[in-house]
Amino acid sequence: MARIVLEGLTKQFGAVTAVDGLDLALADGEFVALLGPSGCGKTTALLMLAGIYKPTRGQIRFNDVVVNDLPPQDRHIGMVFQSYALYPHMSVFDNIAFPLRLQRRPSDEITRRVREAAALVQIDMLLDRRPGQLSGGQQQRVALARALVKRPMMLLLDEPLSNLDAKLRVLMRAEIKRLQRQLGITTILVTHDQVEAMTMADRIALLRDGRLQQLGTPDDLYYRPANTFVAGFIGTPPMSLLTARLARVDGRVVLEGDGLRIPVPADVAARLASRTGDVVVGLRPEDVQLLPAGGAGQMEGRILDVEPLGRELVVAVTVGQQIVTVLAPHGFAGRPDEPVAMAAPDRRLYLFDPDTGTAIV
Amino acid sequence: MARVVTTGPAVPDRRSWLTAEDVAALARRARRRETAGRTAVYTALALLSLPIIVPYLWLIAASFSRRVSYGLLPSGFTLDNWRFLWVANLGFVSGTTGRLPNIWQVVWNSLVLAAGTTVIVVVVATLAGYFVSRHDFRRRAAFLKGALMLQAFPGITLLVALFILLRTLNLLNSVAGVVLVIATLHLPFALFVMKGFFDGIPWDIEMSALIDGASRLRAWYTVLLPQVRNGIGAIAMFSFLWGWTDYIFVLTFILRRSSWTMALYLNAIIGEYRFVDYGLMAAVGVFYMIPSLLFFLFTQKHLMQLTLGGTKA
Repeated sequence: MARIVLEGLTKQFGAVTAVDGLDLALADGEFVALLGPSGCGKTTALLMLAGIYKPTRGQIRFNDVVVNDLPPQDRHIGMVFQSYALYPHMSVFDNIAFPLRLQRRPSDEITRRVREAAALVQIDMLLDRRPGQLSGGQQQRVALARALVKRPMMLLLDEPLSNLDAKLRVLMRAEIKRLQRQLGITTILVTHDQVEAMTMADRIALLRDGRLQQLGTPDDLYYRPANTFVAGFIGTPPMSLLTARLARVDGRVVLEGDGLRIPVPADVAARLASRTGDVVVGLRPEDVQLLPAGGAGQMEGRILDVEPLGRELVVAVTVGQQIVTVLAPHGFAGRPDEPVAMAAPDRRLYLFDPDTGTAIV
Repeated sequence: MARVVTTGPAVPDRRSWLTAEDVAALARRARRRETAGRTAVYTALALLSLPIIVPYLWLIAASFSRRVSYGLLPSGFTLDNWRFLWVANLGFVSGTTGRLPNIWQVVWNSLVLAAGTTVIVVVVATLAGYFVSRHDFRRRAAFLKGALMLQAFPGITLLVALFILLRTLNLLNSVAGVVLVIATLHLPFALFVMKGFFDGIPWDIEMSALIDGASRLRAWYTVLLPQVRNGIGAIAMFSFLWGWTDYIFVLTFILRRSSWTMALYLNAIIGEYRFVDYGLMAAVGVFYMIPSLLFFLFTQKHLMQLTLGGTKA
């Protein structure tokens, strides 16, 4: 078990900077997700932790010891790959035993520990099979057992669930979380799936183009996004981001735009101080309420599209030149091209700087 | 589903069938056509393969025949043609231009040539194939193009240069010299085959082995090598046959009879000016084919893998 610290971690491939000054500290036993779109540098960061890539700059410390120059075989890390990377010519038993054999453990100890690890992930009846004879979920369990059998200092998971079907993914999500809690092992999960990150991790590090956008708990990222990228990335359907103008009418602060006029709550207005001009307004789809056209709404528009999701509907509404996404309850009967009004939330109004994208309040 | 036309003709049309009888008639017609088509294909293939199969059958028949009339029709059974296997000194054989060396010496030389080629090609191509597949080095593309060009080069055009080279190295008249030449000329092909097999193994598996605690070398032979077995089998087979069947290089570089290989032995029996002992020639020919046949029999599977390319998990 270990505390892991990344400090100013940078990796360049020629002129391309894959990871740019990443700072991250994991407490012993913590579960952190590296989240981001493909190409954001999260896998590169993971491979630097594993020792496959050497950092261009910065430090990796395990329990305060700098391990930058330690080769992968000496890092005591367990890793599960997206492809599982099982050895196809070896039986399940031999796959799991491989790390122990390399440590030259006595054979009775190997047998015992392989059986323990297999039991932990519930594949003890498959030990004689070859990886090719297993289903995707079973292969995944073998990969987990192989990563855990050597009792590593930390566990690295690289998109471990993306090759599984939807049902199995939910199951394995819970399973991996249970194992991580039970073993108390410091874990880093790399994923592009925000649901995976939100449900499994204690904290999430959201990356974009190699740079850390925000580090925090799932609630932090959802309710207190640091910038428009975080706001738009976290949440399905994503937050609507509209451009509006800050205006002061009768001493009150109001957001004005084509088809919208939203009063800003007094406590928020107080923190805006004397700021004027354009801002980016963020509205979560579940916070916006659909009203009959011509009502007392703060936004007016036309329905662009309605997507039924069963329990609720995703309604896209054109407001001026911009689009607002709204989650409507089951039973909403609006049709495309019909006019509609909307009420903006009082409490959860997100405001961002239009130039830098950072959160204002 | 089916679009049924109300007024169907007596002979059912495939677009307007109506009753179960119509369907049965159409099914019968389909079966008839399939049988006829298959018969035609098999007949054509059989006729096409005759020119290949007949000479082999003739060779085997002739090797056990007393006479071969007009050099064409074998007749009468005998094992006499195979006497080269047990008579130490054949003496003057009609058609040969001198005394033949002992057959077992010749077989040994051929085996050394074939096995030597195999060892060099397999070891070098497996190591180099891995390196070329996994490492990016300066002028990698140029190296691969160059190797490909070398393969396209007809080896025969190098005969004179190679002769001078081998003489300088004092390797003329030795099987070792020919081994080096054949192995070198065929290495590019083997290199590309092995590169292809290594390319087929995902990086993840190698990284995983490193993280599991293996050194690079250890990962190579415990995790990667077992997965390219089929490639190794294929190039081993090819290089064995290249060595075993080579004619032009042994003919040019080996003048001493004690270093003769099977190809030169057979060549001597066919002779140049006089009568040919067809029976003896056929027997030696059949004997010469045996290793090739055995090899194909046992390694077909690897060969098939080659066309599929790479391994699967």
